[in-house]
Amino acid sequence: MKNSMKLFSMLMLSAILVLSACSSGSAESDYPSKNVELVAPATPGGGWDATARAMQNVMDSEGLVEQNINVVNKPGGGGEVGWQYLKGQDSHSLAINSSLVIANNLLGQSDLTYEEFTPLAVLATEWISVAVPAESDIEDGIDMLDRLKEDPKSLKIAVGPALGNNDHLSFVRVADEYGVDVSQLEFMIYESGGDVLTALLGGHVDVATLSISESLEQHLSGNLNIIATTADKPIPEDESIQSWQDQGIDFTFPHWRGIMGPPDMTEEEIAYWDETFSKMVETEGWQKVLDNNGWEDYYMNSEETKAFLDEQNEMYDGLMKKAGLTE
Amino acid sequence: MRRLLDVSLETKINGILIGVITLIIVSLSAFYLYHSSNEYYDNARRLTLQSAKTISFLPALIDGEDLSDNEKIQTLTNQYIFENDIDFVIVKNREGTILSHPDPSMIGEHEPYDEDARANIFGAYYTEKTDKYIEPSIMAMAPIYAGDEVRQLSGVVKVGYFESKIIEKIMDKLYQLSFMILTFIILSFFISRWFGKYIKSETLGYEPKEITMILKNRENIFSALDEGIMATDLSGKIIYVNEAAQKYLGIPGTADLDGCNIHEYFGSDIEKVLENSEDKPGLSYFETHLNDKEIVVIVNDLYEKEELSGHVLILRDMTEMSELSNKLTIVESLFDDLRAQSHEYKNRLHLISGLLEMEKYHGIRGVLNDEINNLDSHQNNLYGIEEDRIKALLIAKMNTANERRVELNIDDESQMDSISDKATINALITIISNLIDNAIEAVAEVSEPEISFYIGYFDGWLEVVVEDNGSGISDEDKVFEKGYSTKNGGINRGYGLYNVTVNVELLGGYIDIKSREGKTVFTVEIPLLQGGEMDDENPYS
Repeated sequence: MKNSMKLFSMLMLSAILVLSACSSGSAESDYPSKNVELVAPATPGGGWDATARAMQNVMDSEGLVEQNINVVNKPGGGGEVGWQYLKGQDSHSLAINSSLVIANNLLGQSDLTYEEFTPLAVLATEWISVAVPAESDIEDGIDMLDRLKEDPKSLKIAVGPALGNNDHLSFVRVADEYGVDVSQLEFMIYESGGDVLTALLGGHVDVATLSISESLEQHLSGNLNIIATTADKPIPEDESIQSWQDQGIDFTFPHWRGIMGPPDMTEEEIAYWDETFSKMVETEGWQKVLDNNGWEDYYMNSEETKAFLDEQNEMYDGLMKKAGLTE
Repeated sequence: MRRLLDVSLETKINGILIGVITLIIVSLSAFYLYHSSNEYYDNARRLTLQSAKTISFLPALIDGEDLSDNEKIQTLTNQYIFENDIDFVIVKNREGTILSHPDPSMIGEHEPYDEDARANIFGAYYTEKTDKYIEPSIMAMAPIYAGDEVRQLSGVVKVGYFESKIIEKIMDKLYQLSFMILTFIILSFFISRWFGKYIKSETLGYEPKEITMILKNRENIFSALDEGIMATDLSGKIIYVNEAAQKYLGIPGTADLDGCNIHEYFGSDIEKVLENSEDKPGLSYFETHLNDKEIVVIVNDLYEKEELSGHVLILRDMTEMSELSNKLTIVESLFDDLRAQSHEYKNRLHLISGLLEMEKYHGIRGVLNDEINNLDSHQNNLYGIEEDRIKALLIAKMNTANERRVELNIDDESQMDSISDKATINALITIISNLIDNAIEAVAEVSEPEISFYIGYFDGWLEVVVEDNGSGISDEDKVFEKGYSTKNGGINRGYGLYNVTVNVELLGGYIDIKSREGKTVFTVEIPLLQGGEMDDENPYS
C-alpha cells in the first residue's frame, strides 16, 4: 500500500512536470499555431460583423499576426449562438462581444455568463442614435418623447437584434426618465442592425434606435434623420446632430465593443493578445477604421476589461430592475 | 471528560462506533437533503421557465394578433396545467389585461405590470418567488413575441409552481432519510455491540487497565527472578527477555531487542536443540558458557492454539552449583583416599604383626623404613606446590593410586603458587582430579602401571602434564566429547574429560593429547602468570 502510494505520487509528479514542460514550451514559441478564427455572432452588415472585419483587415495588413485570420458569422439569439460556439473552441477562436454578453444572462435568454469566457479587450465605443426616416414629421428627440408620453403605442420603434441590447436599453432609459409608460412601447425586433436600417429606410417603422456607425452614412446622404444621440460631445461628421444632453436630458451611454476568447486561456495566450491588440489600436489603419465608423478608441487590456465587465454587469442589473417600476 | 473516558472498554467502543456512524450518516443525510432541496427548487424553476417559454411560443398565442380569444387561451392553459406538473398559468396582454387566470372571475381584469415588468419591457425570461397568487410559489415569467421576421412583444406568460409542493417533497425525503438514519443507527448499535464483544473476547475479557496491570506484574515477577527467561518466535527472533537473561547475555537494559536473534547468542547449540525438538517436542536443554558463567539453557516449546509458535528459554546459572559439586567430589575422593590409606596402614600393621609373631625384627625395621621413605619422597616432591588444595588433592590421589597398585610419581620440579581466585582453583581442581582419575583408570590393566604428574610455569602459562603407560587412546579428537569413554559402562562415565575441556576453555587454556608407544600424555596449558594471577594480556587467551 505504502509502496503503491509512493509510486503513484511519483507518477503524478513526473506527469505534472512533463505537462508543464509541454504547455510552457508550446505557448511561448508556437501560439498561435494555426489560423485564427474571429467569430462575429451576427449576420454580415451589423456592428459586430464590421468590428470583426475591421480587425481582420488591420491585423492582416500590419502583419501583427503571422497566421491567417478568418471571420466567421454565427448569427442568432442575440449573440448566444456565436458565443455558445466559441465556448467549445480552442484558443485560436475569438469572438466579438458587447454588453449583450452581460444582458442576455440577466434577461434569462442565455445560461452563458460573461465570466465563463476570457476577456481580452474592449476595443472601441460608439454612441447610439435615434433615427427617423427623412420624410418623418418628428422634429427632434423631445418631440418624439412627447408623442410617446401621450400614447406609448403611437410609434413603432425598430431595434435589433434583441431586446435588452444597448440600443434598446438606452432608449428605454431615456423614455422612462421622461415619464413614458415604457411597458407599452411598441418595439419591432429585427435580426440585426442591418435589418433595422432597412426597416427604417423602407418606412416599416417610425423610429429606430441603432448605433451611429449604422445610421450616420444614411443620415449624411439624407435618407434618414438622426434626432438624438447618447454621445457626450458633438459628432465630428455632422455637428448639427443633437445629443440627448443638447436637448436637456442628462444622459450619455457608450455602446462598447470588445473581444473575448474561449474559457481557460493560458496566461501566455492572454499576454499574446494583449500585446497584439495594444499594437493594433495604435496603428493608422485602426484609426482610419474608427474614423470611418464613427467609433471612438476605448481600448482596455485584458485586466482592465475584466474589471470593466464586472462594473457593467452591476450597472445593467440595476437598470433592468428599476425600469418600469418607477411610476 | 476524564470521567466520561473512565468507562469499560466495551462501552467506549460502543460509544465511539455509534457516535461516529451516527455523525457520518446524519451529516451525509443533511448534505443530501440540502442538495436535493436545492435541486427541487432548481427543478421547479426550470420547469416553470420551460413551461412559460413553451406556452409563450404556442402558435395560438403568437398568431392571435392581439391575444383576444380569451376562451381559447384559457382552454389551452388548462390543458397545459393538466398535462404538466405546474399549478397555474396567467397570461396577460401588453396593456395588463388578464387573458387567462386560475380564477375565471379574474379574466378580463386589469393588473398593472410589477414583478413581470422585466419580461414586458426587456423581453426577459426569469423566475421569482411570489405569494401574489393563491399561495407562495415559484413563478416564471416569459414574454410573448408575435411575428416572424419582425417580432413584437404582445404579452407575458406567468407559470407558477406552489412552494408547498416542494416543501412536501422535501418532507417526504426527510421522512425517508430519518427512517434510513434510524435503521443505520440501530444497525450500527448491533455492529458495535458485536465488535465490542469481539474485542473483549480477544483480550480474554480483560479491560485495558487490567491488561496493563497483568503485564506490569509479569514484568516485575520476571525481573525478580534469578533465572533468565527469554521468549522467541519460530525464526529465533527474541520477543521477550527478562532482566536476569539480559544480564547473562550481556544485553544492556535499554537495548532495543528488534532484530536480535538467539542464534547470535547460542549459535550451534540452540540449532541442535531446536532441530531435535522438531522430532520430539517438549523439554530439552543444553549447557553453555556465557560471560564466564556456566549456564544451563532449558528450551521449552511455546504453543498458541495448539500450534508451535516459538520457544521459551530458561537460563540457569550453574557456576555456583558446579563449584559446589566440585567441592563435593573432592571431599568424596578425600574420604575415599582416607579409607584407602587406613586400609593400607591396616595392611602394614598386619604385616608388622605377622613379622612380630615370627620374630623377624629386621623385617619390621625394613617395612617401617620403607614406609617412612615413601612418605618422605612424596612430601619432597610436593615441596614446590604451595597451593594447599592442590597439594591435598595430589596426596589423596597418590593414596588412591597406591591402593590400586599404581605408581603415581610427582615430578620433583613441580611447583605452583597459591591462587586466590576461587573459580580458577575450582577449575584447576576439576582438571587435575579428572586427568589423574582418568590416568588411573587407563592403567588399570597394565602389568606395571605408572603415572607421572607435572605442574609448573612456563613463559606465562601454567602447565599441567599427566602421563600414563596405559592402553592409549584410539581417537584423539573424540576423547573430549561428552559421553565418550573407553571405560566399561557406568553412569558417570564419559563426563570426566568433557569436564576437563570445559574447564580448560573456561580458563582460556588449551589441552593437548598425545598417545603413542604405550604412553599417553595429556598436556593442559592455562594462561596463568607465576604468582597466581590470570594473565589477561596473554595474546593467546
